[in-house]
This record gives sequence, structure tokens and C-alpha cells, in this order.
Amino acid sequence: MTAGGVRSAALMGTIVTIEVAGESAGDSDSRERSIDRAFSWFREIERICSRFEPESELNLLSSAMGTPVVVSQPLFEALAFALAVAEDTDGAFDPTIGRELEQLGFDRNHRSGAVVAHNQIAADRRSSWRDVTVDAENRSVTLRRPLVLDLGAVAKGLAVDLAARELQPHSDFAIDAGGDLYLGGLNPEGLPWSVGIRDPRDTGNLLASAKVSNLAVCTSGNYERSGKHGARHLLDPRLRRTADAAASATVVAPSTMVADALATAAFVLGPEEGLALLRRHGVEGLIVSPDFEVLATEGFPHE
Amino acid sequence: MTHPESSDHRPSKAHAGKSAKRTRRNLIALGSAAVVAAYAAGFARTWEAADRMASEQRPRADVDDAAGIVMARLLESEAPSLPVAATESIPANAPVPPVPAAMPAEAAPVAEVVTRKYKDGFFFGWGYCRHGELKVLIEIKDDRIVSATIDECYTRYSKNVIAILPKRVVDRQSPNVDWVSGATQSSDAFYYAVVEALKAAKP
Repeated sequence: MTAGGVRSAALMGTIVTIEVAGESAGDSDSRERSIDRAFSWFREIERICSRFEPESELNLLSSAMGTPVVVSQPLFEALAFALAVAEDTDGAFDPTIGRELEQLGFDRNHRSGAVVAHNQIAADRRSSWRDVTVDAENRSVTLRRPLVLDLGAVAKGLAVDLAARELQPHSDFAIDAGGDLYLGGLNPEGLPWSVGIRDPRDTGNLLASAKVSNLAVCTSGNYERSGKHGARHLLDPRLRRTADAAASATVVAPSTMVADALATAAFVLGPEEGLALLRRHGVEGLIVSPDFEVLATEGFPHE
Repeated sequence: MTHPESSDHRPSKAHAGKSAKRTRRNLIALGSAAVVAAYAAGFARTWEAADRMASEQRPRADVDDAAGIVMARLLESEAPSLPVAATESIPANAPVPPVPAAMPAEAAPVAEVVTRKYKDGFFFGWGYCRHGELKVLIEIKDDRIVSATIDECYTRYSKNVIAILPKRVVDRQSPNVDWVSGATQSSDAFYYAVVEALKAAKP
């Protein structure tokens, strides 16, 4: 008999909590080792993909305009996926808005407090995801205009998915990366995990809850993380200003990376186009309109 | 006769999106493939890093390394907390995850004298985030946090917004849901405050 384990760490600008539920946890040593490995993925992806680490591979790539740069597999995968989402959403999702985020004040390393800004990069305001090309054969990336890459949503989702693979042998587990969740198997009561959706009007309250198993749940909202002058951190990349078509967007999908990216895109698109996007990809979601009307896909797993 | 699209600034794009239907990619399949590829590439590296971290971390307290900080037992409400370096004996036939051949064998867990990690009593710490700062008071009894409250709060958000956090630390938040989806950045300040308070509680 072993109790489950819960551990948290400060990673990727948020608190990451991993729980392995009791019954399936196995002996405590193998459980602890799986959790160690799961956390290692977060460190690895943060090291590679963070905009807030000056020497991250992502930042080195951002400063190499014009020539093909061979990148690591995780960076390549994250970027290629982000560009696919950008294309699929006609730019409602765009990984090239890092400079705009910095200018709005999202330029601080959460752990050290140090300002990390790419002032040397005179980002071209016309630059977009179309200015990044990836070459799968050589695993290289070319930036055709000066721009600052930001893989925020995608990288965190990827890290959660990688961590989930480490925890798969324990079958019942949960990963919470600052409100981006992956829920494996069943909760300690032997039921599907129940996930509350934060109310964008009052973040201390829950708007709804969902029952999920082996699924990711991610929510994009502008109720936290204000920058300078009250700017919010979710921009509409097409207009380069704060997205205001929705109050929040929640996506339930088999992968956290997919859920996170689609939640971001759906938030930017607003209820109507956002739900159409989710339906097209066969995932469930719930979007809160700017006047707080709650709209969900038909199959949303309401509790 | 004018096409509706002709008034659009981007006629070809609008057209492509509506009727010509450029190939849409299956993002679900693409996402899964990306995760598999990234996992395969980083597998050995991450396992090695995890084992190194495990061997480095076990003998020492967890609170010094911001990246490795463990709020371990803080989130557990019932069962008395296990000592962090649990020295349960491992059955000989315990399932062992496959280990890449190149990896050094992990050092066998060394039996450790279970000592108290923290002093009993009340301790406070300050946490900072871009929203402001807050002061957290924790009470420790038998190496467990039995309460964590926000004592002072100078954030742009009201105390109520982050009040949900201490509740979660002590009793796993709501009895009705297991987890909550939605960003919780002001939790950072709370988190660092708890870390500070734990440092203060070191013997």
C-alpha cells in the first residue's frame, strides 16, 4: 500500500504540480522517479523554448535572421506545430509576436525578475508567421524578417504532454501547469477527474466543471498577467492589440499542446469562429463571450 | 456584377478560405506526432537529468533550488506526511522502468536518519510578482504546513482573488473539483512567499 504523491515546482513561469494517484502509483520509488523525469521535461523544454532565458535556443534563433538554423528536435516540433496552427487559423494564432509582448511589458523572467528584452532586434511590424520557414529534412528554421519568437502556449503544452508520457505507467495522474491540465486515468476516488473552469469575471469562482479522463484541459483568458498600462497578455496577432472577442476559452483535447494552442486561437477568434474552429478539429470547448455568455460545443463533458 | 469578395482587401485569401478550401491540416494528428518525435529525441537526456537530479536532491532539503522546489506534502491534507527521503524497502521484484543501457546504475537509496525538516511554529515570507507583493503566514506542525494565510497583500488583485490559493495548499481547494483550469499567475507571488517562509522555518 502506497499513498499517491503530489509535488510542485516553479517552472516555465508558473507553478507546475504533478499528482500520481494512489491505487496505480506503484512502489514509491518508481513513482518518485517517474515524477522526477516528468519535471525534467519541463526544465528541458523551458531551457530550449523560453523567451525569458537570454541564452535559450529559442532566443538564439530569434537573433539569427536570414540564414537557416538547425535546431533541436523539441524546438523544431514546437515551432512547426505553432506554424501549422497559425496557418490553420489564418494568423489568429501566431508565434512571432514576442516583440509586441515585450513592448507591452511581458519581458521579465519570472524566477529572477530580470528583464529579458530583445532590444537589439528591430522587429519589423509587418512580420508574421509567414516569415518563418521550417525545413523538416534538415530540421532547420529560417526567419525572413527580424522578429522575436514566442512559443508560450505551445511549449508549455508540449512539456505537459512529454511529462504525461513519463507518467503513463502509473495510469492515474494529473499535471497542472498553471491551469493548463492533463488528467490521466481516474482520480483517487476512482472517478473521472473533475476540472473546474475558472470564471473570467471572478477568478475565485468556478463557471462550470467538466469530467475528463486521459484528456487535456486548457483555458485562455485575459484575467491575469497584466502588463504595462493595463495591457493584457493575449494579443490578437492579426491586429497586434489586446484580443477582446472573448472573455475566456477552454479546450478539452487529447493533447495539451493542441488544447493550449486551440484555446489561445479560440480566445482570439471569439465564440462563433472559435467554436467553429474547435468543431472542425473534433475537440470540445467552452467559450465565454465578452458579455459573459457561456457557449460550448455539443459534446462538452459537463459535469 | 460584383462578387461579394471583390470588396475584400484580400480577395484571393477570402476566396481560398471559403470555397477553394486550401488543405487544412489535422492538428490533432500533427500534435501527437510532434510530441512523439520530441520525446524520442530527448528521452535519454531527460532520464539522465532526472536521475542526476534525484541523486543530488535526495540527501538535501528541497527548498534551496527554485527549479526543484517541492511543495510536496503541503498539498496533502489527510495522511501524515512521509519523510521526504522515504526509506521504504523496495521489494526485489518491484517493477523497474526500462533504463537506457548507457545510464549509470542509480545509487541504492541510503538509509537516512529521519530528521525534522522544519521547526514548529509560525513563519512568514514575502512573495513578489508583477501585480505587487504579498506576505504569507504559515504554521508548521510536525513538518507539515497546517495553515497558510495571506497576511498582507499589496497586489493589483484583491485579496479574494488569491485567497483561493492558501485554501488549496491546506485542503486541496474545493471538495467538488479535483483541479481548476485557467491561469493563476498571482499564485507565483504566493508560491515564493511560501518558499521564503519555509526557509525561515529551517532548523
